[in-house]
Amino acid sequence: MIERLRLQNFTAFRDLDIDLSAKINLIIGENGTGKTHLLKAAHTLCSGNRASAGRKAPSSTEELQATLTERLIRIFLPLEDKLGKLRTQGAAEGVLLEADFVFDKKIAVTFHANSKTVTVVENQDYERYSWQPVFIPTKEVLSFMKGFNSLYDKYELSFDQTYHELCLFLDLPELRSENLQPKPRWAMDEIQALCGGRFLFHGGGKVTFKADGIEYSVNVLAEGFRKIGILSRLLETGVIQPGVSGPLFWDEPEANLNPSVARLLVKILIELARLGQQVVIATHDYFVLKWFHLEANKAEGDSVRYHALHRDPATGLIAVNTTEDYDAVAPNAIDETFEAVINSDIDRSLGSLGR
Amino acid sequence: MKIQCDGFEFDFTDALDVFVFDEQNQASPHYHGLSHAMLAVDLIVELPECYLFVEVKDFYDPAFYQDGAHFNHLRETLKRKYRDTWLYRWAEGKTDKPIKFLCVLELETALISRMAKEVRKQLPVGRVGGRWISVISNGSAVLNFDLWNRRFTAWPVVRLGAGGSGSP
Repeated sequence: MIERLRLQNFTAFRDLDIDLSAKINLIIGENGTGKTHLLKAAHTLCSGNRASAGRKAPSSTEELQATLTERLIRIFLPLEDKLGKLRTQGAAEGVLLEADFVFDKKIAVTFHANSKTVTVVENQDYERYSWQPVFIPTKEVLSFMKGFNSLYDKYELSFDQTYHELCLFLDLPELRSENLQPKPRWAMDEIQALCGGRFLFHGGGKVTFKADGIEYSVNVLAEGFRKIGILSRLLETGVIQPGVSGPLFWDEPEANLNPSVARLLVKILIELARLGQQVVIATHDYFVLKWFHLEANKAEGDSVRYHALHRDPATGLIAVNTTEDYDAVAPNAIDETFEAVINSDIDRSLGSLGR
Repeated sequence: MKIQCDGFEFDFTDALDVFVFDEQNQASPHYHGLSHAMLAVDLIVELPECYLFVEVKDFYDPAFYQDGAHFNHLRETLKRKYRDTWLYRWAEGKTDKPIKFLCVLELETALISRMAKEVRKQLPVGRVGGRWISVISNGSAVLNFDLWNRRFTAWPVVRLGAGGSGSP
């Protein structure tokens, strides 16, 4: 579990310091305020000490630096694969990425414009931080999983590494049923009922969908169902195992999802958080935000922390306002859009009256 | 012209007349007198070019109206208030200018947007009946108090404190 993330002179962030809830975190903000970069930076630091495809877990500082460098490049895809291109434009100082984890574990790395690798400047028992995170990117992957991993290993594709990792996770075998907790089982059943059938994973990235005894290509299924199907499979394989797995980072879960499905998704994520799953979501969607507000129950110990990224009008720099009070979320780009629509409506109805 | 209503004070700076429509004081020239039979909006404002019917609702628990049944009940109440008020004013011979309906509801912005659409459809606004040659509403808007103050700068509203002094 990641407790705090600090980014200095990194992509959109001149100096961002964010405290994360152990349960639900919702990152909101207009386009260009760095929501996805924040998620990816946290994910990179949560996973930099782990073995990954084709690479064993780093066992020395040099290997750790190499691993983190490679992950930054593969996840952020900077121009010409140059680390320095991830530095905030115009920044005079070097880049700092720093994460505090549960049980006083910590990692901090820096790099400069011409650095070939990151330099570890602080390491508190980072090697023993063992909670494997998972990142669900914006696009669903079930429709192109077949053969994707082989292609990714061999060729330069326009997909960042989060897609590759997700496809590998989805291809893992299922957990033994005795190891599946009741709530994840409930969530999988709910998703199955919603989709009207279940996804079958055959290995090698081949996925089909079975409903009423008939097997279909997943490509005939609505994209939103394929998206929520990813969550079901991650539960089935134990990649998401509340209390055991690391944070779930999910970039715009609402993309291609019918707003009416958002409520079920939110219910599931809250239930998982109650079992110890940390969730970090970037969203543009009112319904996702609102359902978290309505479904979360403080009496049950739920904690929903809203992080509003915005460009500070005085400095022009990206800043964050964090609150656990839904009504205090500000600035709220989603709310502001509703206001613009209302005002446009009033223009048509009342013209300039009252102004 | 300032007027107080339901714990708020409005200032319609360009109004010709403003009064509490549902006036219960029999000595008042604006005494309603038909509250047993007809619903009523809170305020009527006469502007040079139109009348405003204004309904004000400050909710203790705005989240209550997220629920479909409560939301629909609120919509029906607003509709009835408008129609009964229109009928009353018609009988008074006071439908001689276009009429616009403004609802100030302390709901969050997204719900306001939904209610605005519902109210517009339900009144209904404009010449929407295929056989109509007249309209019963020339426009409507639903806002919360924050939106109202940002939008209607000539009609500021303040919440009255315990001592009667207003705060934005």
